[in-house]
Amino acid sequence: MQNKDKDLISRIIAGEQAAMKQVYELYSGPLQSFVKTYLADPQEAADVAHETMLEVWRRANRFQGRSSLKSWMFSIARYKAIDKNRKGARLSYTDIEPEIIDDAISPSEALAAIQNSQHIRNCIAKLSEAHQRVIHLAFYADMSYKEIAEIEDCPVGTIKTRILHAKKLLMRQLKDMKDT
Amino acid sequence: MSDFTTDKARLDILAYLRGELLPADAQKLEALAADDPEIAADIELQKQIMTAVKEEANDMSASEFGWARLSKAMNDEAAHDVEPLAVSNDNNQDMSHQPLRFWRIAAAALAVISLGQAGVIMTKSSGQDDSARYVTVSEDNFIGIEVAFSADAPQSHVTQLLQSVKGEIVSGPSALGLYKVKFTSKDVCNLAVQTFYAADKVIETASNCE
Repeated sequence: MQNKDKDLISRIIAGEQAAMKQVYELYSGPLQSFVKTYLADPQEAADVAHETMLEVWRRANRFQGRSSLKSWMFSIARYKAIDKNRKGARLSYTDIEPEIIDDAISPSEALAAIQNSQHIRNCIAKLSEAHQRVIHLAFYADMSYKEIAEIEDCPVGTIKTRILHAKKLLMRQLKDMKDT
Repeated sequence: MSDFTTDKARLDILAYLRGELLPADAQKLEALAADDPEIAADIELQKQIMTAVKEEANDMSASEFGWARLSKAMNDEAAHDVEPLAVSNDNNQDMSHQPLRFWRIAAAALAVISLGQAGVIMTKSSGQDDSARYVTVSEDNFIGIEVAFSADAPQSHVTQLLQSVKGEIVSGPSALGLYKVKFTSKDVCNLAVQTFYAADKVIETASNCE
């Protein structure tokens, strides 16, 4: 367990609300953004993020430090979001990854196609939920591949491939949405 | 350290953007980017994706209301002395706390009436433990009202409503679930009260302007 996590958890277990506020300020944004990839309704996403934070407060003494505090928290959120969505807890790798990835778009072509940040976000929204999630976890929540793998409950290699695929599909979207 | 010429190796660009690469590796990547426009473009592309995603999430960032809501729920649990449920690795249980809704409504309404009769308001004072505590002060210092939000109201609706009336939560929730909302003038406050009365799905109770 990282020292920072250890300190925060100890203080939360001791009932120190200031420590919980610190966790809230650090993670509520990324958490809500992550949950939104499961739940289209932003209100529901906010509620799940709130419930997750409350769960951390309740269960801090159950945190064993085998993962980072961040990935533990996101795992709780994932289960809650799936539960809310009634989608089923496991998606297989083959459900997510297309067999053939379009390699024809180069980074410079994709870069040239970008109009603005909204254009990028519109293109991300066209990706599958699983691809959107890894983009949010990697690019917003600043999670390592190992942490993402823990949350998504799959091997690190799968996550690396998924991120690569997500990026390539996004590059294709950037190009296509510019052309239309 | 990879040579950044393969797809998988380019995953390290993300680590570079986060500042997680060793200095020697970061320098190697920068040198490669200087020679190879595609690597430079890839770095810039990933940087722009990062910015776009973070911008989108700005409106989801930690808010005072979100923290107040969480803090209230935590205090409620402490007040009701809720025992944590036994948990192993199963994160799937919904253990959300259900407040005693009728009691809250009745108590909040009573508190609003009492505050109006007494002509005093409650204001926030910093506590050592970062939680709100309250002291009675003169109404000269404050233009605003006390409200209780509906337990079923989503956070986004509350935020939207507050923004529409230009109100700002300055303290709360109290033990009775009341938030103190401040306004810039009495006129703005009076208009807000009318809006609040119409928003019965979001607002449970609201006092008159103090």
